[in-house]
Amino acid sequence: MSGKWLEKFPDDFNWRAVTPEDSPKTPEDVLSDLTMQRLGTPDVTEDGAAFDFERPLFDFSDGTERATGKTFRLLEAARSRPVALIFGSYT
Amino acid sequence: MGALHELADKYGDRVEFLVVYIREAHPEEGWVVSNNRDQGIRINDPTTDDERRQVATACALRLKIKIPVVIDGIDDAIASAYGALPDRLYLIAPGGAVAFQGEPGPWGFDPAALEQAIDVELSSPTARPQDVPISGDETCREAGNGGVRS
Repeated sequence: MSGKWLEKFPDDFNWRAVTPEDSPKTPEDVLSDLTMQRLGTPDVTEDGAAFDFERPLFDFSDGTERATGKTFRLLEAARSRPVALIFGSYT
Repeated sequence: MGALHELADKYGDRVEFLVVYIREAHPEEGWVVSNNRDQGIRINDPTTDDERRQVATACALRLKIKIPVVIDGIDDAIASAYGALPDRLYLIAPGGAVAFQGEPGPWGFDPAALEQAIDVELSSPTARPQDVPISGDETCREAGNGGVRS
């Protein structure tokens, strides 16, 4: 369960079908990019220790940006109950 | 985000849900995908924390994200530790062990697998250690797809 993103392209994936002609890079470029490889390869493992982090917490639930003034720290939050982490970006 | 909002509604009283906004997977300087263009999404990869916060805000508002959000720093420390690019799901057990490590997205991004892991975790709340050593720095680490999706 620790597969790397770049190793997970399905064999029949036709990247040209989803890539506009003016795209500066191709999946092959991404595959060879060391930074992208690093960001797609986890240090943590299932049943191993989570990587702790602490970041300002935002709440967009009312349709506006709202800095809560609170700080989220993972291992503090996970002290009493499970924490589900949903990683992603706009693109 | 639909399926994840449903999970948050269903389990939110027993599980904390958090969106971690990370580095763009398909910025305009990188591998651009047609699906984003079709939706009018053209994002240059942020180069500062503030730029990333602005993009994260635009994303959260457009996708109507109801789950609390933190934003990875421009050093991508969190994404790097979790191998989170382009998108990925995890469940951290009480005490700090990784109870579930989803496969990398977009093909491996599976909310149903996360739900299964949550059910297992909730059915055996004392099965995991409470004193797992912390991976990485113990202090604050300043902190990257396929989109925050369901």
